[in-house]
Amino acid sequence: MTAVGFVAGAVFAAGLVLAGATEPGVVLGAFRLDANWDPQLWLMFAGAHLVSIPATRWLARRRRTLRGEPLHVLPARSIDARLVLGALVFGAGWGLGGVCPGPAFATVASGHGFGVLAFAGLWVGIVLHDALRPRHPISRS
Amino acid sequence: MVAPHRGVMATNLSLLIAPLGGTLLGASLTFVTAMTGRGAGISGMAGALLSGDRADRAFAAAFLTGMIITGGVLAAVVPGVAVDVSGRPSIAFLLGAVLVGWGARRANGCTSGHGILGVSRTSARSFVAIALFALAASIVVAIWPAGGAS
Repeated sequence: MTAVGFVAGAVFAAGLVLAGATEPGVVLGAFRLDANWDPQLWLMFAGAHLVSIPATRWLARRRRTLRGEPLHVLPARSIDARLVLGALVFGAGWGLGGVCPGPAFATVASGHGFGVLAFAGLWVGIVLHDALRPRHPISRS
Repeated sequence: MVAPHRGVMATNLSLLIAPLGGTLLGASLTFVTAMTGRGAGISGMAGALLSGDRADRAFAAAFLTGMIITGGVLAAVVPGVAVDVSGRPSIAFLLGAVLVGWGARRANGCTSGHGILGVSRTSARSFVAIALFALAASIVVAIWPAGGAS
């Protein structure tokens, strides 16, 4: 399974680079509400959904993995304050540096300083959250 | 037309290639679900490295290693790939990423988990998440002193 993971990760990073999502300027351009608005990031998502929506539906009908094991069904959860706060903080950070978790991994070894900074910051944020996470059963998922 | 904030592929060709890159993202994530039975985005896999069980941890490590190496190789062989011409200072990348990491864990997903997988499952939580991601990002970009980007 680690080979599967490695290949899937390689394909994911290649997709990000191809789509320009590893360039902070392209990402930030997607959020500009002026003449320099850049649709490139949104076109990337459209391409992703073109594959992921039918594939997800097919898997849901099938209920099994390609290896015949049962599909893990996510428990239904409500829209709560954790989601809202987390999403707003995430978005603010995304608008600040133009880097989300995928591009941080795909650019850390690119030789560009912003990739290293984003990668380091990402881990600080993750560890800060997970270390201070209150013990609550719903946080396990 | 060459937008000033674009680096490599700074032409309208990039707009044609972007959805192609996107299909790779969708294929990768759904392939992971098809093989492991679990849906996970990038921040979920990073979290699994810290607190997942043994199998989840090994899978996440392989996936993220594949990302890091491929990103590094592509940046080395394709000149101008993954460059930054946004004009943002170092502190914006560092602080921005801290917020992104914390927020992704708090919201239980990031651009890939909510934005690609969640939307594909028509999860109401994911639609709320991506709307708030975009809202907050747009506000920060709008109030950034340089007027958004470079």
